[in-house]
Amino acid sequence: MINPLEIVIAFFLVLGAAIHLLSSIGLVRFGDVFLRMHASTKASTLGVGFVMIATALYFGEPLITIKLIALLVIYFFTSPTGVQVLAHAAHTSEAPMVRETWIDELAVHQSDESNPEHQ
Amino acid sequence: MSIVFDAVTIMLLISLVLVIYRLVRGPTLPDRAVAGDQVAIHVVGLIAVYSMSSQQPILIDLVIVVAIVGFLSMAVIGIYIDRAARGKANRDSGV
Repeated sequence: MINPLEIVIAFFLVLGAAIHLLSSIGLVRFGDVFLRMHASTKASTLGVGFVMIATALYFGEPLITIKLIALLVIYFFTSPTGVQVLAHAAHTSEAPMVRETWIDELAVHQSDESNPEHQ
Repeated sequence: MSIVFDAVTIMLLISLVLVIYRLVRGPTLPDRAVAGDQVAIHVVGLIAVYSMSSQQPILIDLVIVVAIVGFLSMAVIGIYIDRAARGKANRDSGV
């Protein structure tokens, strides 16, 4: 006899692990550092979210659920912050971009700021 | 249920191997910082799955610590890269 709750837990766990796997494939396959950040960070936040939902359902205790909600809040605030700092640093250190890049609004903005008579 | 835990652990380990490939090979330092954050995220998932399969809910506390340390390492490496690049640009333009 299979508990229907276990089916839900297994579904969320496999979904979270599959999203982790997809983001890692993107991390290996994509061309430059900005595309890799795009692939890895958003997808892995979602994957951690699914694994945390499965863990909360499996234990079913209020204290663990509160801890996991706190962990999810930490992830949803810190992960974009850290990657934004890192992406800005990569742009400042002139990390190479793929050939198909056709717009770089940050560089345009900075060149406008450095010589204002240009506008 | 243990089959599901084993399968998810194997999927996460395969994913971790791909991340470590990028961590070793990554052409620039930001690549390695992103891959290091991904390693922390995979460790979070693996600890959560292990805490379920071994019935040890106290391991969830460890997950929060790993999450915060992963964020701090990524942010500090980002600030370091930013300062190094700005210092190099100032030296190049000042002389």
